[in-house]
Amino acid sequence: MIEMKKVGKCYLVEGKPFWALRNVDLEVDAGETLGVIGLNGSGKSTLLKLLARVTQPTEGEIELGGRVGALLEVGTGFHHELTGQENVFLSGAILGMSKREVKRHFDEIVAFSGIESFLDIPVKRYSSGMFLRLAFSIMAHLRSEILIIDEILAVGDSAFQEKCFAKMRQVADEGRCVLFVSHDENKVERLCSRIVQMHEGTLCECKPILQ
Amino acid sequence: MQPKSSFFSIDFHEFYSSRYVLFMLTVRDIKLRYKQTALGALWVILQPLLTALIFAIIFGKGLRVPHAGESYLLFAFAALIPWMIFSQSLQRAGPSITSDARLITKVYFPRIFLPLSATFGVLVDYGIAILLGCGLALHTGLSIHRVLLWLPIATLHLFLFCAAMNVLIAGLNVFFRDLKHIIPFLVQLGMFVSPIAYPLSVIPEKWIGLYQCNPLVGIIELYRFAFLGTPFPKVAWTLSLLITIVLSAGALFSFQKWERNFADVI
Repeated sequence: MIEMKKVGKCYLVEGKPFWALRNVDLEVDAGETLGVIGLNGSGKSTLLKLLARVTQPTEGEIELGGRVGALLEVGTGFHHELTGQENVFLSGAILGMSKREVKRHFDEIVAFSGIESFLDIPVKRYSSGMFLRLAFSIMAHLRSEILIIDEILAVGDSAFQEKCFAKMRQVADEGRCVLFVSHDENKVERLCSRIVQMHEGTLCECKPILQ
Repeated sequence: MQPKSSFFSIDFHEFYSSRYVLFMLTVRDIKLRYKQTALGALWVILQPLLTALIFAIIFGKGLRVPHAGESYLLFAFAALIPWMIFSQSLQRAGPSITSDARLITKVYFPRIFLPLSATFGVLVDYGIAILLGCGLALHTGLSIHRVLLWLPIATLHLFLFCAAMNVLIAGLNVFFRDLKHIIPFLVQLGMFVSPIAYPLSVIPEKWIGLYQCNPLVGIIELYRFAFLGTPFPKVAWTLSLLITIVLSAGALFSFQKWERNFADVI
């Protein structure tokens, strides 16, 4: 579902080329939950951005076998002046849902978030917990074949994190493909069927985890 | 996905399949403009009317600038409609990409939607201004046929021109932030070199050729033709149409070349 061949990304840092990522080969199949671990600055974010199509590779090829849902931050596309309901439609569209999909899932999204009674007030008046729940509910109802998730799960209380983990497993069971990036090895081990490690812009396979 | 090298690889299919994003961004733009303003949507009516009134008092009554048609108010209003759409959408679209930097670095959608949504965000204002214009023109003898035929053409032309301009400026603005300071200056200058407060006929014969290279001249004169029945601007409009088409193609091609670097530069 994801195929990367000799992918490299070079940035210019103060006029000098810097390879944030180089010679990365990666294959992820449908139904797989791949965890990517690595220290800060190891190239995780660059990998995420490449897969999310936010930035383009300098060399190599990336093939994506389906729509990509990029969950790189909580509340992508949210605008604080708009109401909860308006933001569900806006954020849903920006994350890649069609009009029909947002409409069909609207009630579920609202129910999952549990903030029914605050739908008509601007999200700037929300508590951070309410904001998080609404934002994640939208993300959880994305139907894209590939989900790319940054450590947004690190926020929120443990009960909510459990809910998120459950949702991610469900996504993988549906035969879609999840790529989860974190520097927290414990979380990755709990969630993923396979782990790769990033180090100074290169990628190495770790042993598969037996669950 | 691989490093793109081809210059002619605009993905129109992608534009079409993700058109809902463009729609929602436009809705966002319209909603945000009048949220938390006391008079709200009333500004849509007040802004062009007050401007035309001030024009009518200063240039019409005060300086006695010559004009076509019976009322200077309508004469100015017909030109102010396209002019205000141009200047307002440019001022909104110019920083549209840099001000949504978070979206650019976190999620993918055709980036051209940002300046386009800022452009289409003035559509509501436009519709109301047109209704006001028709209302003003009614008692000075509005030709329904002329309006029905030429207003849609003028509208398409105006928005194509604005979209092209805005896409170009918004894209350039990512790399040259100086544009933020240059745009207000250029808009001010544009007001003087466009026939808004005065008729095209005051331009001396030897300058008229150069003057008409400003694509807004043809558009503005077309609006005056539709509303007031001034002479049809054959030369100015043809020239403007040609420039608009070249500009649109240029904007599309340069934008798709620039947009690959947005996330790295922004």
